[in-house]
Amino acid sequence: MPMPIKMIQSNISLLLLTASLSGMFFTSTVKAGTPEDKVKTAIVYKITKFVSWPKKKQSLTLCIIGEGSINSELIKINRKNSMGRRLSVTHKDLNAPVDKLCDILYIHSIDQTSSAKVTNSLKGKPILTISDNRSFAEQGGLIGLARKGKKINFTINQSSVDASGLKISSQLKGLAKVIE
Amino acid sequence: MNTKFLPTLLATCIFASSQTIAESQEDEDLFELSLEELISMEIPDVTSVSRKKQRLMDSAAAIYVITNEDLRRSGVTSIPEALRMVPGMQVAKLNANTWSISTRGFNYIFANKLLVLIDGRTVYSPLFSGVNWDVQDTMMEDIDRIEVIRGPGAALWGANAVNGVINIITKKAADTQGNLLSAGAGTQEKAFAAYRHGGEFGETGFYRVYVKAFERDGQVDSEGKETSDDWNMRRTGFKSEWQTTADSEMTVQGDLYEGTTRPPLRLLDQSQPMDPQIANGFIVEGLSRDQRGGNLGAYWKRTLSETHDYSFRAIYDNYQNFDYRIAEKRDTVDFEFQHYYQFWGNHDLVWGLGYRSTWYEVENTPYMFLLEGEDSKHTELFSAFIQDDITLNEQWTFTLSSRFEHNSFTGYEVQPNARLTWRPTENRTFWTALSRAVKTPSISETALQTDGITIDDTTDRNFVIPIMGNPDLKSEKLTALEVGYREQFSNSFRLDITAFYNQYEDIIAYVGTNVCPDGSSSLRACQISGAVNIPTTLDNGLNTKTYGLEAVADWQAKDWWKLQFTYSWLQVDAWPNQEKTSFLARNEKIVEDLSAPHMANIRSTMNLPNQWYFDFWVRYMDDMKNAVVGANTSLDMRVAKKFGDGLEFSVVGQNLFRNHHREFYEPLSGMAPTETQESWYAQIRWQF
Repeated sequence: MPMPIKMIQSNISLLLLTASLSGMFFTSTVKAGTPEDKVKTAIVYKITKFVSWPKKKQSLTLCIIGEGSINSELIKINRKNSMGRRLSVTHKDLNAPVDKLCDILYIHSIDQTSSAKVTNSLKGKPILTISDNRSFAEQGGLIGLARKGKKINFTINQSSVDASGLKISSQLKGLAKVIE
Repeated sequence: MNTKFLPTLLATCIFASSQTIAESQEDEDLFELSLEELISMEIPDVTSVSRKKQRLMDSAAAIYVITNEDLRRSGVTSIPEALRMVPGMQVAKLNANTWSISTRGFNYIFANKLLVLIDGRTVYSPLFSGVNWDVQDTMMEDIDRIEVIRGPGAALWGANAVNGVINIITKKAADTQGNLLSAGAGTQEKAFAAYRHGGEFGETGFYRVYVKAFERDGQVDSEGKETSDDWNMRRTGFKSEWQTTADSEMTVQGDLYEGTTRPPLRLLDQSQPMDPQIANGFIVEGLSRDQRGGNLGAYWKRTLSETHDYSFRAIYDNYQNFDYRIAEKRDTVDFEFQHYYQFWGNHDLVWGLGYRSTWYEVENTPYMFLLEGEDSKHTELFSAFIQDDITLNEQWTFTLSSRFEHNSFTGYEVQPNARLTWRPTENRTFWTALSRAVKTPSISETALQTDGITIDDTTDRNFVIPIMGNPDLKSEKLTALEVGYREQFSNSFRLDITAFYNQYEDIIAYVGTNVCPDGSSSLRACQISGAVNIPTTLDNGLNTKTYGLEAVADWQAKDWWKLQFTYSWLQVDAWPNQEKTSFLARNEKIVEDLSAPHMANIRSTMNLPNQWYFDFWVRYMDDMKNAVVGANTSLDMRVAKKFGDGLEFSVVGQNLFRNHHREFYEPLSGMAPTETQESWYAQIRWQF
């Protein structure tokens, strides 16, 4: 075989060249949600029905932090009704003052340190934080979603909930893994 | 959907995967479901096409998924039998424990253009690059799904993934908690039992252990007389997974097995008188072929985000075969690293590195021995792959990938691949793929001498054909073009069609030589009395072109009644790529006549009131000229009754209303054919 290393090199560079060219020409697009995204979104929506905030609310703002296909699914619960409260869904930057703008915060696809920073800054504030990041509830978030095998289940951090002043119905706790 | 359209479709036998039903569910309004229902919902996924999870509907490959439910409802008791569901996959039994399994041609018991993986572990034998199907097993209840890609998957999965990839994926330990006992008995399935226990450990750990044993009866000869090809195996294994840190998970699994098969062989013992051997067609029965082995694998994955993860896999595999013709022992270690990362929002990049080392030992016999007096071999495989999946816009996706390998037989191999997907609407997908794949030579093809195994008596003379390996063999090369179309017409009907055109170069064929097995050079026939001895060697002597069509249709006729139709059509044309000799002409004919041109399946599953279930499966297989097997139809049936969630009784009938029939034969294989019989078994499955 003639000069295999050269052949490999030219193959790789061709591949990278094409890849980077197409990257320049085509900007980022919205990806359709996977079945997993759809189920997670439906669970997030259902969860809001089991939570009450210290002040009576006419509307609930759900903020999303992070990029990914689930965003296109979460947008679908915009304007939906949750126990007489209208939901509005917006996307927020990591540095946005989410404590002032949001009632519910869905965090995904961001690294553990940034996620921990956000949850720490919201400690004791009446904001329902939900995330599918690993061990989110264990690390102080309110509700963590996790895929176990083929199913999605969720974990509630009771002490974080108590500190936030939110009330979560016992019915919801019955379906979740509750940790202190 | 248009009701006039439907019968036309059914009449032309065009057809889809059972994943459909799960997929159509996801389009239902999930918001209407209760939280309890949501958290108990199962989310379907496939991974084989792109090495990352994606929707079956969107994959740019001819993929078919056999689900756990398909396995249960069809009543199949082994992995090879399950593969009969796949459109275009030719599964034919030579005897009770030997199958010929292939797709897109080259149907043969040593079919060597398929890559088979069980939870990421390669299970092909480097001796002949094929699969010892009789030892590939686990508890059927623990198989999550079998993903089958017809067509080349070499760019991601490596050499030998020429005509397809079969990826057997077992459930996670978290999904197999509690106890399950499955046992049964019947006419061919004489007795079988399996038990599994799943539990938890630590904060995040899950495990399961299983034991399984079975005894299967032999088949019969053409006169209906019992043959000795019975088959029994015992195996045990475990799988466990736990979180090592908050964002990483570890899986460790392993199996141990042992058992015996007794394939009726055709052998010429040259130390014995010739006449009695000719009289009984050289058939030697009752020689046991003991096999045992085990494997241990660890898989670690770190998930940084939904679009960024990396993983590492390490596997050790041991296999021992005490065959009358050659005893082999093999140790394999396999390491693999993979990194997945999404960048610029629209590039999904997967790349990986792999290393495999195989130590191979044989005990030479007069029937088979390694050339140059060796009794061991060490082979190495270095590999790297890269794939970029580029989302051009909401409708178009372009995928570029390639694999680079260095193997011990032919050195460097490059196997690139380009795929384009167009999704004009959510429920309609068109895709096309252009790929190059190679099948690297195996130990048997490069370094093994056989003698007295290949016996041809199709004419009135007996030919003994010793075959000598050729160390100078090149790889067989494939250039493949595929186009596919998939559509979900409504919640009740789905269609999946693939057409392909394959061009192979340097297909290995056997050609004449003037070196006798004992090393003596003879221009005349080698010394043997009573038969004509024609020594041969192997050469990259043929080019081949294949083309065809595979179709699947899923139809949810009623809430309680699901039907699946599959159809496949295959044409093969081979020709010598050098001066035509009588050997090459013979090879050409074999390659062309190995596979059945048409195949079709109808599978029906019905959920009846009071937890009764009735399922049937009709299979049609056209003429296989080389095996001298005419077109034939088989019927399997299953009736089951469930009590509560955990207890199920079932009765399964296989190959019904046919006394016995031959499914496959190939004189060069060294095995005598036996015939498949009608059979029944009863089973109980108890989950507690």
